Amino acid sequence: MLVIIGLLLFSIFMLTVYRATSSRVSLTLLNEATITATGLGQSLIDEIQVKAFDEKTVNSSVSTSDSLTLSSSFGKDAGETLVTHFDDIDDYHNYTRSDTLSRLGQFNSSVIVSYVQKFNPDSKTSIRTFSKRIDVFVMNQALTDTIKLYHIITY
Amino acid sequence: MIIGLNSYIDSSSRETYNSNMAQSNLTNFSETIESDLYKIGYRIPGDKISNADSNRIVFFTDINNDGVPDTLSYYVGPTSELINTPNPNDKLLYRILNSQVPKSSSGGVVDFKLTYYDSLGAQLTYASLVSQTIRNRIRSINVYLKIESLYPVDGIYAGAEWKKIIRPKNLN
Repeated sequence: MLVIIGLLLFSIFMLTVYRATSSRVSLTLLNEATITATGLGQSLIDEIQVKAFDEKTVNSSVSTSDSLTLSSSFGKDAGETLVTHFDDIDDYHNYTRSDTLSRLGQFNSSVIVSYVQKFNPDSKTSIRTFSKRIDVFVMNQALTDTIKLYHIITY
Repeated sequence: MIIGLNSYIDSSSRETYNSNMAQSNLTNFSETIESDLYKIGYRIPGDKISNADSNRIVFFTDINNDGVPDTLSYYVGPTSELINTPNPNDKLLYRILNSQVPKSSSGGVVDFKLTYYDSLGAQLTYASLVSQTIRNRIRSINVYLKIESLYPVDGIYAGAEWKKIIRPKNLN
């Protein structure tokens, strides 16, 4: 009887050890994926923020926000078939990109661009303003949740 | 069974330790590289990059903001420099400021690759980058860094990798 109880306790101990090890490995992978995903997301934000604020400001200046592109028209413009053709921030709206790395495989990034309120930049709005928010989402199989980064650009 | 369990706990502990070390080294390296590359061309009126290759870059910047231009270079050495480590692929990553003694790190760097892009996002070939005119067209640099542990666990080297496109403000 004592032997059976001993074996039972040892089995429980083994299961606990395996479970702890497994979660430690997952956590290590999660850390690595977070480091990589953050770098990729930040790269994308860096790339976007050097573009013109709006299609209307590529070659000229704008003095009223009503002259800017409607949020419903965000996305790549006519003739912009490649990302290298993008010349303003909102061209990246709904843009997706995949990067494949040797260890953790594919990282999928996507972008949402929106107008935000001037004095409350956390609030998105469909009204045209001189502030745009870039939301970047990065996903990978090793991540338990999507990495979300955002940046606000003001004209 | 107990010996097997002991061996399992031991190898998984070493694996976790190696992974954490690799991640820690990667974070340290990437922060330094990122910080330096963002400063390419800072307070430099003329040519900003004097050498651009797949695993080497030499650029000018006023790194300490004293008004005197500095030369900063990064490159990786050959694997033959670290033949005494168990990992056959690790190399030394060097950072040289002006004519100082090269600072190297044996933090398990197994891959350090630089890729250069112009203002349109088109990749510039390494062969073309021997020309200063072409180097002056560099607007962004993709940095890929891979770190592995010095010691394997069950024949596998724990590792971590980082990739980032850096757009130095003074090149844009």
